[in-house]
Amino acid sequence: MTQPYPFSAVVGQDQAKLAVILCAIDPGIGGALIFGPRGTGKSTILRGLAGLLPPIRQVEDCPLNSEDPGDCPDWTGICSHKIVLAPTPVVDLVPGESAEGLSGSVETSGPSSTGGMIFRPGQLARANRGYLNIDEANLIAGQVLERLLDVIRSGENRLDEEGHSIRHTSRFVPMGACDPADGPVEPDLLGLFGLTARSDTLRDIDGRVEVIRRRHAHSTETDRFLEDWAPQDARLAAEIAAAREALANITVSEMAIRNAAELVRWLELEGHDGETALIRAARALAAYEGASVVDASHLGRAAPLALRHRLKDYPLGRSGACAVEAAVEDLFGDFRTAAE
Amino acid sequence: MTPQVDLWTRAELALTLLAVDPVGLGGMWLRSSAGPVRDRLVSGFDVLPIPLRRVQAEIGDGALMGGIDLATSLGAGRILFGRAGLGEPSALLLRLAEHCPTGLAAWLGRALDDRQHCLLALDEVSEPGTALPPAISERLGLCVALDGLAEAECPPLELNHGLIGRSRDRLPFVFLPPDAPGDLAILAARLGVDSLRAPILALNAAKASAALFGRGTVVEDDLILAAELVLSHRMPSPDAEVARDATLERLSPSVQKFLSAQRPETSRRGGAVGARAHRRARPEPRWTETPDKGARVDLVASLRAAAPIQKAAMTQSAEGPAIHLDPPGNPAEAPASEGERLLIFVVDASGPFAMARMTEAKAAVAMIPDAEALVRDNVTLLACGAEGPTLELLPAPLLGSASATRAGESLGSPLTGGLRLAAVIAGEALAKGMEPILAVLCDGHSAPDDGAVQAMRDLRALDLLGVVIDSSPKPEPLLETLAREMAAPYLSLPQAAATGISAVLGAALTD
Repeated sequence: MTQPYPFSAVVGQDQAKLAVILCAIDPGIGGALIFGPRGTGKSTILRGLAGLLPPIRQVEDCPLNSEDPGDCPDWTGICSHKIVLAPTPVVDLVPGESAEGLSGSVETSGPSSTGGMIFRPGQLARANRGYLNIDEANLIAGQVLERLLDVIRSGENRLDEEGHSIRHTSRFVPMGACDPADGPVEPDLLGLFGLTARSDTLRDIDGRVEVIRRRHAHSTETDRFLEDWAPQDARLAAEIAAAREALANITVSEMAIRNAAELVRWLELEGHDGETALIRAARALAAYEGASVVDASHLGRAAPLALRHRLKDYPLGRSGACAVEAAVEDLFGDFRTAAE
Repeated sequence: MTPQVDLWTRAELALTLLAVDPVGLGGMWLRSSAGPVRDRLVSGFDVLPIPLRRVQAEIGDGALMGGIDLATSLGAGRILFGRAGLGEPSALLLRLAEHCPTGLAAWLGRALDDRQHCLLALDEVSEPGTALPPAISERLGLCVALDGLAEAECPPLELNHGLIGRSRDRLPFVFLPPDAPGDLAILAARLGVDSLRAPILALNAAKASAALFGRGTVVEDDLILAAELVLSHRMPSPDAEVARDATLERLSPSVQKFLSAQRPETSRRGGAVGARAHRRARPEPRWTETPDKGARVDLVASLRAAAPIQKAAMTQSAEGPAIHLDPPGNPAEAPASEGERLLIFVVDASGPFAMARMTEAKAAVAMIPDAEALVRDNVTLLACGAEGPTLELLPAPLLGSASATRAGESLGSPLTGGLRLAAVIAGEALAKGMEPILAVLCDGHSAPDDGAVQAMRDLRALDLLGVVIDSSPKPEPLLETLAREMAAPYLSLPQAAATGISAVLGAALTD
């Protein structure tokens, strides 16, 4: 396995990168879906996320990455109470994954000390306390999709097999990538993502040339390339860590909440998930930029990310972001000039 | 040397380059029915420096998820599972690749992204409707097609293992001139290849070519070979080529030469060209499609297209008697032709989703098959805003006519204004011998008033074909009434995304 391509070395795609950064700052936003044509760096951006996250404290070797030895279920067979620092788990899920691979499987040919039962944990266990990268999210279907939706909603993986019942915590941030040309994303799954962002084909030749140069350097002089970009990823990781710290002290005024609600009402969105995601994303953006108060500019810039996929008429359509931006301008005036 | 032999030589060269850099080139998409010719090329796969492994469409979970790792389990005293994956770097051989399920395709795509393996996809191109999933074809550098080759035309492969081995050793030391990535980026953009994986793979092919031919540095010939082997099969359509704004002048002369000689081997235009051709007074020069050999200029069609301008061209030209070929795509000189259709697309640009609707409408127009040619002289786009209708597009034959000056006048409610202007344009188009068609896109936000109904009746008097597209979440009865006034079909497209609208418009223009 080669080292992932550094997040900072991705050329352009600012919206997609911002969505991922906001989810790294505040996992409570509910994850992000990056959509766009092939070869625009969607998967690269998601895989680069691992390099930006602070380590977590977890019980050594625990397949659930448990924080406390008391949280390790019996089936893990973990007796150690040793707490280690480990990277935040970032687990990849591709459509070829089987339902067993996702939620784990029970084998009954194990040693008698465990009652003959071995539980083989799946991706949902490994992703606990971390991020699950769902590649080609629009191709996930059938049982895998059902289990995934159930676990994202409940935070628990339940498995009843061979007369054994297994339950374990599975709380993770769903991150997704898809090419809408392959088909629409299941609406239930789409609705669970906090943010969506489009990665577009780079039209500017200099940008395209830079992508080719960097990719070539990454494949031919990998060590040197990673070394060159490590400081930039480290700086970004430090900014994210600082923003996480600052998050609790960011003031979200009554006015900002009202504005968010007004925007959601104006766009005629169903439910209240839109406001929640918008406010959290705006707060994370404020923290990232070192502001102490969420202002109209933060709301305005977070709105297309948090709301476009909730529009009734144009989910992931080209015009979704335009519709949200137009609504923001109609309601609050030009937020970009307000920011300057 | 016949073209067929060229095809076989090309296949042999592709395999040789792959053997020099199997991982860097990603692999080979081999499009050919099963048979002795394909077998002959497949028998050469042992030249690859990594072990050949078959991948089954029904790959087991063990391979996908990784099995029990016996050694570490014994050491730890409890069961531990190994990493999922394919283990050692290998050349994966996928037979019946056109039947590869999307799940496996995504998984193989991931394996290729990890840059440990290469994939040989044998696509029998057998049944219509089956195709190698794009998640794979996108990541394979080389594409080789063998259909149409007879066994006798394919001499046994002469793969020089020693030379290939030496080339592989040389590869890391091949110097890449600083301009090379730029040349390939421009070339790819110019050929309409959007994905950035393609020029990256082409760059690796160019380096492998330099290594193979014993050069210490990548030269133009390597870039041209790389473009031919890696980029040519990815070109979407002739129209896309025109659409790119990449600057041809920045390319070196030989790359330009290649570019002007290169034409896509397949075309998506299909029936649309034929359907429209009969409406055109002047036939367009067309590319004849010869399967897998690339396409050539249809000289007869070009000459026929040029025939009507010969007299005028000769009198204006200092060159004397010679055949003058009309440079394609000069709308100002193109006469409006008898029976040609003109789509008048009226879009309601008022209300909260106005901007979104306009964006979708413009995207839809751009997505109409053959949009390049059509938009130039067959589509007019009318945006009906609160300050009166504005013309976003006006076809060349109507430039300078009264309709252009009427734009911007407020003629009642937004929709009414738009329909009235549409009637003016339709009248002018009819006078020029064109056949106007009306398409209306609105969501009932600005409810059609009496003025709109009257405008529709006026349009009916012109005896036009038309369609009313309703983009409101629930069908709007008033719009249905409006459609009835013009005796036009009414279509409710609540998810009025560009693709759906474009399909409706495309059908209206070419039916």
